[in-house]
Amino acid sequence: MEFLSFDYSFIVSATLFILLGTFVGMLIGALPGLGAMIAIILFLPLTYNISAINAILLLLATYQAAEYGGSISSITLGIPGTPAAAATVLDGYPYAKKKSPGKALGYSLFSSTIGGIIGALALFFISEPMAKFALQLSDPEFFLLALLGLLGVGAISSKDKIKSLISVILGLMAGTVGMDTFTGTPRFTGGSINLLDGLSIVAVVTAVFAVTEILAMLHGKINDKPTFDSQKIKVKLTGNEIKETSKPTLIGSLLGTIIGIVPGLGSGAASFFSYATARKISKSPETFGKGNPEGITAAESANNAAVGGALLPLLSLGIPGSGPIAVIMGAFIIHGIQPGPQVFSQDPGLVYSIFIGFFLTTVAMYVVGRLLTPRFALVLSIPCSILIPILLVLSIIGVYASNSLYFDIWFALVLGIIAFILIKLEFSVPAFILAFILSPIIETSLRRTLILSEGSYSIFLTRPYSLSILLFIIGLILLSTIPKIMKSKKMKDEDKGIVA
Amino acid sequence: MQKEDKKIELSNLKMIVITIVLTALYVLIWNLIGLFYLLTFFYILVLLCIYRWKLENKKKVIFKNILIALGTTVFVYYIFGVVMLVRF
Repeated sequence: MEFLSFDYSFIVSATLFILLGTFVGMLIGALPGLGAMIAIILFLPLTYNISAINAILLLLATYQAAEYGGSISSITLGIPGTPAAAATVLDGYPYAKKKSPGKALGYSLFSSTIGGIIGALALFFISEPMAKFALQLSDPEFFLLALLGLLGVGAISSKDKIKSLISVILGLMAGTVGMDTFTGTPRFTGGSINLLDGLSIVAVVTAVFAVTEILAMLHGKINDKPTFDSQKIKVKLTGNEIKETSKPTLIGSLLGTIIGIVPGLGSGAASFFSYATARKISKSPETFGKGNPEGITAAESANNAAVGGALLPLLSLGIPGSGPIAVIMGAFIIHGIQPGPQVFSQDPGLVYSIFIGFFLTTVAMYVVGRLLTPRFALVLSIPCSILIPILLVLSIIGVYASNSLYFDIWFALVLGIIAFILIKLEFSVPAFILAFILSPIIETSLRRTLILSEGSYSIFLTRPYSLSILLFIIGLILLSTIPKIMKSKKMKDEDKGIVA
Repeated sequence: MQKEDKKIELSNLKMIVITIVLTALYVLIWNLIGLFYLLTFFYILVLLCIYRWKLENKKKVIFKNILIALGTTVFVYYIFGVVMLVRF
């Protein structure tokens, strides 16, 4: 469709996909226990048949909208719709009960939009300089950066650090299944041709996130219908109300962007950190937890800003900043695009389309949120007994649609059951997935490094950037292990004192 | 001081096992004989009936289950079969 020599069909199709992603993301994000990840995974198989830019914008819109959607059940029911919306419950639910759920949702929507815009601006202004810097880096540095990402997520994502690291190792092992890219030798395929291309990324993420979540839903009272105040929920704020919460909104947006950049932290950590910071600097910290709108806006602006933050290292370094972004990285790979600094020079049109599209996802979230939040709130009354069969079928079909292989479905089911047991034993799913996604990058960059250095590991010490990253990694390990060792020693000394 | 032992609760285990077995049967029968849309309809219907069996007004519940199973199957047919041209 051309007019004045400009092709509008791309803009129309991108807008439609952004609106679709926003609608579905908000709907699924609003349902407690589902979250952004499930919404993205359900869409991932659909991206095979659409263009790369539409696929990426669809998934980004889903992610953005789901982060706001999570606040709908947080505020109306006191149950977080997404992990990142857990901080919103602290003040959102009390505010909704004391004053108005509509106003609380208004605070949430407005601050989510501001957070999304600031995340988009950070993406626009910082990613290209970061990518230019990244072009000075080579395989040794990429290996160490990927390792840093794994260590970060391993250290943060579970209470038990050993189990987190085991999850990382399992993810790396899963990533080695398939044909060796250097020698062409099949590895861990068991003679099956279905595994020559490696484990299907759609099957793995569906198993680890969707199947486990469905099995977890079966634990609870599946026929219970949540109830909430049925008065009309109008999402509107006055100028004064916006002004009063501008400071925590801005702080949350900046913190969320920065925290989103660090692999492994993600929206959940961003929202809690921002909430804690807003409480510290507030004129009335004693009112936090009792319905202070500053608590709502700090948390919500951070969790949406973290979306842009997490996309930044993916585009500029090829390293996803969060679990959902790692799955979105799958959409890049499905379309034959390896995200990283080279994308800026090889396909600048794609990159700038992502920047503009990402900004539009934030606008779409605000528009759809204003119009449809009261309707979405009604969806909360659907019991799990209806959701579970629908989600199961969509997950199975999604896995089949990616490669048309029954093998992938069986694999997803078996892996899903194993992952469910591992989650019960407090192993870390985000660590596993990030390690699985990064495994090819880590292996390729390490092997190329050793080819360059003719087998010598001293290359990591002789290159200045490598040495800096290596020292940072060592510092991170020491910072996380020394306090634990000292605490353990102190407890042993106290026990000895008691016994004596 | 030693770590305390933790008990892992697996409530509703019967429902989880039934779901897994039915899902495995669904995939197996689909693999062997095809008839994907018909199987999908019955799979959703059977699961809904099992999960919602204890609800009152059984006739209304079963009718609602049939509608949900039919609606989901039609949705799957349209999105995956017609739009995405996936051959099941």
